[in-house]
Amino acid sequence: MSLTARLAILLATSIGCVGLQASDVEDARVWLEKMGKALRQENYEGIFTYMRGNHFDTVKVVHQFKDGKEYERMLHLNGKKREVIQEGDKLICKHAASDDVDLGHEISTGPFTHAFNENLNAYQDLYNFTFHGQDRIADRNAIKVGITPKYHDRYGYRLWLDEETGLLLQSHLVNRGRVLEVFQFVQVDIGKPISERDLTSALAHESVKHELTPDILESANSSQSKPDWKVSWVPDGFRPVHVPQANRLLFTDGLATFSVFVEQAGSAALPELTTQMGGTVVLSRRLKNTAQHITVVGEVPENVARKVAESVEPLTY
Amino acid sequence: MTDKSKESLSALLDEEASEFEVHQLLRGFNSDESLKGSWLTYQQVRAVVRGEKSLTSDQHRHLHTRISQAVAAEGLPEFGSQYGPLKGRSFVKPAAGIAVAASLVLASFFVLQTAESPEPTRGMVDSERRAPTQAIPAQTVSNQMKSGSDNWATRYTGEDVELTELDDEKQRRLREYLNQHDRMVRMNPNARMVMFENSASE
Repeated sequence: MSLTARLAILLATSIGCVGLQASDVEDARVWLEKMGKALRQENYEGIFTYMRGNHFDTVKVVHQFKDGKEYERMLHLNGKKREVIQEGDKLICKHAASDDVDLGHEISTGPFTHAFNENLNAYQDLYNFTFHGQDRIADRNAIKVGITPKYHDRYGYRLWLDEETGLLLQSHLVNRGRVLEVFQFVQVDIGKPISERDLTSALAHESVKHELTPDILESANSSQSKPDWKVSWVPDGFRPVHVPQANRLLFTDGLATFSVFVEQAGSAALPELTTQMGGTVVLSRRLKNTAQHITVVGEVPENVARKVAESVEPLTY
Repeated sequence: MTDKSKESLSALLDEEASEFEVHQLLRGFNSDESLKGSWLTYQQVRAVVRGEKSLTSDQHRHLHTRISQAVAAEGLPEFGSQYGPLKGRSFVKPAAGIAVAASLVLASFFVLQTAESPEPTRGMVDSERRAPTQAIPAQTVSNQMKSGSDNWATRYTGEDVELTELDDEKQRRLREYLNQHDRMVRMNPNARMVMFENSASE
């Protein structure tokens, strides 16, 4: 049969996807809730790959949940030797003393940074959930779940969750059918006991360590100073997240996140630009009629970041 | 409809059907009304579940019939005959057939896209709907960032655009913003930190 015929009939019978029954939607939600818990509360050790744009990372991860706290060690297996170690709320980057590791955006943490939460009811008006049956990832049986935005103001996700525990084994970040980021465990052991040694840095000697979170943590219990600016528009469902600094705001809809920074324009400020790596966009603009500069960073489409930036305005108390 | 057909149908829905299964289903759609009916029902259930508009069964059938007719009329040679004598063969009719089929395909694709795709951004400014995106005199530069971040396509979008490479300081600044964002996200689990009382940022 000719290609035209095949195309025609396929399209005539409509371009199908999935989602056969209403119960599938509930199943998907149950699985997502399970995933939220597994990401934090499961013990696991494995190696994952994370592709963001053309950037490709391979990372060994050890994760433990103990006494209500998360402990994690991520060792980057490619490029300069570096580790990210999490102990509860403390996040530390370690690298060999001989390496000049830039503390910029080189510490890939995988989609775990998306911090899926357990409050899925909050997303119901924003995303469609579909259940796509089973698959096999890293030699484990997986459940496929689709999260499709109802509007083009955010990205979608395809998730492969461990059938036994709900742990995220693979994910695609998708914008209008185009895959922007891919995360995948290539090998993982789930549920095995994690020892202190497993969490001990492989760079214990001759290494330099940097705490990555001091400014965020130090004011966890202090009141937030009021910013002298506001964001007048965010896509539906995005809520502000408490951050201590007055020059930035963080928003999330529970799945996607973006930050807005406002700083004094100066020689160090970025020029007006838009740049993207995988699903992360950075958009920089001068705040109208002021000497301030806005930078929007996050996992949202470029047009959304632009509109957010355009909505920033000075606030008079 | 056999169990095998159901499996194939399910695979087609998942966009995972093999070429063989696709051929079988395509034949089945022409001869097995129950198969076609099941396919349409699945589509409609899906549309309802996802809260989307969809074509009615009659519209589907009508479209299917018209496209099948157009394809049948195109008279394309089978793959096996492509090495046969070409002399004297008229390509006008096949071309017309393809054109008709293509136009129908495009038409159906447009309709289906309208039904299947997420709506345009809700709450986006009306001006974005009224007018196409402004023609930004943007250019893409290969912005060789330090430390192997060579996958950045940076577009400068100011009104008076001057293409310049970001200097070291600007690149450091850019990475700092990204890093700060990642840190904030990582260290602020949503369940604890989101304030749900207001959607505004004040």
